Amino acid sequence: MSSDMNELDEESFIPSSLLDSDDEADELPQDWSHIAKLSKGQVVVPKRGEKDYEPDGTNAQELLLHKAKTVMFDSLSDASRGSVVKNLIKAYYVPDLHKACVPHPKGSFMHTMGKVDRDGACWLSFFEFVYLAERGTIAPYYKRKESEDHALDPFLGIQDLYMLFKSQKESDEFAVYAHLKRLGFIVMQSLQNSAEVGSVGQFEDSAVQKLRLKFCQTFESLSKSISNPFTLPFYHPLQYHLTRYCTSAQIYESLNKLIPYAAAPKTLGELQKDLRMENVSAGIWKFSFDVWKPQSNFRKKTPGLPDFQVVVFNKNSHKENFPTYHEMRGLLKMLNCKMDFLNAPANEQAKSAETEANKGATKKKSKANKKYPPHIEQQRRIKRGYRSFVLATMDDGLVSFIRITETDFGSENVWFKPNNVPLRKEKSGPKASKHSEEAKASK
Amino acid sequence: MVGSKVAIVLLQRDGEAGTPLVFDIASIEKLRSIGVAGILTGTLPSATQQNAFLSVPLRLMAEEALWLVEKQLGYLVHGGGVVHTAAEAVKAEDMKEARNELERSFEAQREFKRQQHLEKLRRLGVKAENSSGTETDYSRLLESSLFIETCDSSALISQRQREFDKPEIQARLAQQLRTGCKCKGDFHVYKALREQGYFLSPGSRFGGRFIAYPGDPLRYHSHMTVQPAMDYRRDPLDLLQVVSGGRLGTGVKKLWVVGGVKDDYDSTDAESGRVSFFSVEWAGFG
Repeated sequence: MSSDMNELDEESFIPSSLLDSDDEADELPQDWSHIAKLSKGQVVVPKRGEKDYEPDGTNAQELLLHKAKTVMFDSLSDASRGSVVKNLIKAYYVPDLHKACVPHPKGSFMHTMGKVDRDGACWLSFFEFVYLAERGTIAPYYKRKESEDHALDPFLGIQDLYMLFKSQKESDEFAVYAHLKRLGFIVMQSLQNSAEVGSVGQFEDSAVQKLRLKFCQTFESLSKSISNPFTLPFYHPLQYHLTRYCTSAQIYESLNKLIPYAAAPKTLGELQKDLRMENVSAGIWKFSFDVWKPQSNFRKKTPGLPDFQVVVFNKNSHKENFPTYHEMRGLLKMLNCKMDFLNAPANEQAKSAETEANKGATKKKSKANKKYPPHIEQQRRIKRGYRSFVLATMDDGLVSFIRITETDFGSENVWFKPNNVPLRKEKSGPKASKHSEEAKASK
Repeated sequence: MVGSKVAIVLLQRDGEAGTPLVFDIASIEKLRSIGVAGILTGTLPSATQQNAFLSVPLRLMAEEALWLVEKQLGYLVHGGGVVHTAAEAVKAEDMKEARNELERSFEAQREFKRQQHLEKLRRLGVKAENSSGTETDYSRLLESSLFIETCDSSALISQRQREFDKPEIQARLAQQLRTGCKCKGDFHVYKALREQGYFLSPGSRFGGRFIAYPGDPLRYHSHMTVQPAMDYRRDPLDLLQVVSGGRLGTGVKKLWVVGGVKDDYDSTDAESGRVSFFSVEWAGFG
């Protein structure tokens, strides 16, 4: 998992705030003196400080270290969490529901978080509750079972909140949640069975349909083999009598037939077909979060499809291992988010129909969709891939985001140019459709 | 002495290793002076929309927590159950006490703000008018600007968490933490390096289990990427891994280190006999 693979092309997918976090090849060196200078309103993230090779025993170095530590701990203890009486928003944790209730909600967090019930109270999920309490937006209380009024409900500290996490997994998920929230993303917990409510899965997955499909598939393959009775194994000596290879293109073409590959689904139809295929399961994995890029016209009730879906993986727990190829296939199948490749060809018509609100987005898009020569387009296509999800890897407090993309070498003709297009250096090996990993360490 | 030990909260369900966290800033400072840096993971209230500078809780590696417990420098506290029982057991007197506490903090804030206000008036050359209208206006403003702080550590269970510091409870929690780790030998590697004065932090960003710093990571670059422990007399070493690890290590100016642990080593003291280190560098001939 090398961390320096940020190439230009991917920057269109991941906002720069995620990218610039590992520009330096070094580990989280922190110069807290910068944050000490920050006043409350500022949002500029300070640059990181200089460091030495090793302790050399000099007083000068000792002094520098002492200063750095003092500044760090001063800024830690000076940053008081909470709000003034006027803006105080009380939230009550309800243990039975593992949720929190805000009886008198106000504030901009309501825009992307919480659910308002009939009585006007806002219900926060536990993650939202802890996140908001941690940044001082709400004041956390514990709702006691027997008492109706709040007179006996104790005020909680951050430690209490964390201790209410029910499992290690939940605390890992929260760390990822808070990380993404701090970056400004809109994050919601994924529904458990996202495969059923999927955009692609709007069709009923009835057993009859599955059967029919299977039947069609077998019939298809059968008819293929019948219509082509002269197919011989490639290495069969008879091949040389039946076929003549006059150009290298012909050789490439028949070589191409030898390599088995699974084509990545690229259209809605193919996606639905893939969805009905059984025998892939994601195992223990499921999506933890749906993530939307920051946007001002976000609606909680009709959020639309998320931009990313995130799986959380703890690399140091003995219970979890890096997802296998089949599990990744299963996850890709469960995917229920925006897929840019679906509307890429239809972009031209769609542009005129875009609403006012999306104008800014389309402008950016049209820039990204500049026409390139076909071989560059192909390179971009292979690199970008099709379906993808984000694997958030937790390593004892440090989160790395890895994007797992399904790409399709098999269907692309990278071997030869039928017309006399000037040859380029091709490095791609004889790979079938494989999942390319693009490691992206954040932090 | 119980008081000087650091309370490490362990978030876990049965059968899990758990997440060790430290909430108290004084404790975090103390750990840092011992050589345990950990990773701060909470939102910093003064700069809430960034990830470079974070605040409490401090997240420890399982190996760090185990080492602290073994050295009697810390003790593990476990379970949301404690919070639930403590919260349900709160009595009217406690609430009254908490309210008084809050009132005291308000009083101090009022005093401070009044003084500041007066000083400001003096500086501006405005004479303190004692007309009642402005005074009530001012105190209303003042009342609404009083600050209520959400504390880092728990007031609710500060007494109860001490009860966890008993040898049998600690042994049980530590055992659970140990069995939940992916690689059991890592603890010995951690211990051996820690006792040589290295600061360690999680190392998956550099393709290892740990990265080792010669001193406080605030000031010094790290020197080594330490691989997950192996029993070097038995476990095979993948040559491809050596090559890619060595290359990566050289690329980020770090030594690629394999910690070899003897599983059947039974002496309880000197960790140096149990663990051997091998380092790989990319020589770059040719």
